[in-house]
Amino acid sequence: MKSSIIVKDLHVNYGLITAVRGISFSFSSGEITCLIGCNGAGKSTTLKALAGLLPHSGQIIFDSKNMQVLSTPERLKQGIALCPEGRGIFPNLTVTENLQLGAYSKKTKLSDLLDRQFDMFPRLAERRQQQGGTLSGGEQQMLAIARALMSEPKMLMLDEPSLGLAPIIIEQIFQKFEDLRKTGLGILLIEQNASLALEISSSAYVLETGEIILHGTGAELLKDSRVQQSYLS
Amino acid sequence: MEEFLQHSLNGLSFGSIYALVALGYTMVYGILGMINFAHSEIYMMGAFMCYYFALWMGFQTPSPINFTLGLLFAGLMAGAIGFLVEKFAYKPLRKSPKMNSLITAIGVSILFQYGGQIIFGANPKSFPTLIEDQNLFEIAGSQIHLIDLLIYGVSALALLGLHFIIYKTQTGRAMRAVSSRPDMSPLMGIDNNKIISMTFIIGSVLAGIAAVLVSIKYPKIDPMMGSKIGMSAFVAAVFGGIGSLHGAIIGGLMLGVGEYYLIGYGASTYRDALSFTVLILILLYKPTGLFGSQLKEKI
Ligand SMILES: Nc1ncnc2c1ncn2[C@@H]1O[C@H](COP(=O)(O)OP(=O)(O)OP(=O)(O)O)[C@@H](O)[C@H]1O
Ligand SMILES: [Mg+2]
Repeated sequence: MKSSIIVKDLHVNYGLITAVRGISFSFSSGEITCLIGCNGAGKSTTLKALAGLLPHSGQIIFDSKNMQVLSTPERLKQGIALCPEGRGIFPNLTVTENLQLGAYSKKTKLSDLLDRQFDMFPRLAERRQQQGGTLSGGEQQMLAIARALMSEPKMLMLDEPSLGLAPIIIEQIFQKFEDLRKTGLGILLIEQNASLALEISSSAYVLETGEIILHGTGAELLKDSRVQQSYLS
Repeated sequence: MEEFLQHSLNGLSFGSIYALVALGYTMVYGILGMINFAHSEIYMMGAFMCYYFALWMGFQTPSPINFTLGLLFAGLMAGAIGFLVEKFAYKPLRKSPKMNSLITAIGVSILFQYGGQIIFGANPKSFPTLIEDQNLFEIAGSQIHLIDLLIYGVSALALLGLHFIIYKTQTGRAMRAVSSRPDMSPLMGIDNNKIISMTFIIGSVLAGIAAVLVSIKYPKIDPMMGSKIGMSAFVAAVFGGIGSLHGAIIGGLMLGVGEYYLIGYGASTYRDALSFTVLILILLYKPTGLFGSQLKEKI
């Protein structure tokens, strides 16, 4: 069965500053949905609110369950994971330890989950015992993605996963997103690289100063003149 | 030479105690960035809990079982008290400026000291003999006492246990994660509040155990007994690099040994001055202490 997260009239403020002004959108399992927009549009703010890291108003409904009353750890238990902007690696923990913490709320055996991530990211396997803070930027990004997958989420939110990665690695990682999608994972993707994101997304939203100004399939937005002007060069 | 060995052994015995207590300071600092000035009073409470436990159980003859039970009970109670202090005194202030928690910590410390004088009485009490001390054997002319051996052994076990928790369990990893990126840890499903409570409990258990070991060696306890050892342990933590686990252990051992050399070589009047001198020198010349790097095993 398909699950989905429906966001209704989401508002987020930082003190007196309003960063997200009543947006509504949805995303589903087995699909990649992307959120594009300029710097400061409110994309990261939206994901943090969905993960429960920021106070917010409006409704977040995950398979007819209300999420907005739940804390961040509780939302993770429901299957909503966030791979945050800036990666958020624990610098003093090794690669393995970072991954193990990704499965903090899991009771199942960690070694199987670990092996799966090491298979998917061989680069991390080579560096198991290295401290997270000493990894290269790209390696940290892989670690952040792998760590988010350790919780076996149903819905994965990715905040600029391609940041700092070489083009060839970006292609590989996007291929992995596509593979994960096929296994039924729902992905909500934020990307600066709009053309790449729109290509793999079945549904896409354009955010501008905290409001959604456009919505369509990835293919539709790729052809949209406003999108071409502002986000594709 | 014989003397030197004897002083070193005595120093190591006291240093182990400093290390156990210093860990509580350093762990709380690592996770909350505050100095828990009430830690020395949790130590004191450990001794008193054990005292009343022995009375209540009617321990008459010294025995290894009484010793073990007393140690466990003191550790358990100290852990519970540490948990409650954090929950009721510090947690409500988590979001306010650090200075508020610092002043509260001093307040809690005073509350325990003077509350203790009212409830337990200000006069020193003689601590029950949980286990009979004896000269076990001699190494190169130095007497090895049972109680010192117990201090080494129990401290080593406690440190190994701590090491296991911090480096080999999810709770320990979570403690290190919360100390470095408390903003990110909830995304792993970590409840920061639980981990902070856990840190206080573990640090307090170690203090409770240390208190019983010391009270067996020097069987006089009173409500002010925490302040001297608390001061030295705090200095040991700063010396080793506050926030660093290994720093607290090495700082504690070094300070203990240093103090015993002073006592042993006729300068015992300066014993208490040693901690202060070390503290001032460290703060002046190397405020991060021996192991106070930013990345390494900070908890
Ligand atoms: N902690 C904060 N306090 C105050 N304002 C903030 C805070 N975080 C973000 N903002 C503001 O909220 C707005 C949206 O920020 P957000 O990080 O969501 O943008 P974004 O779309 O992710 O941008 P980028 O593409 O640069 O990552 C910006 O104007 C930003 O300055
Ligand atoms: Mg952003």
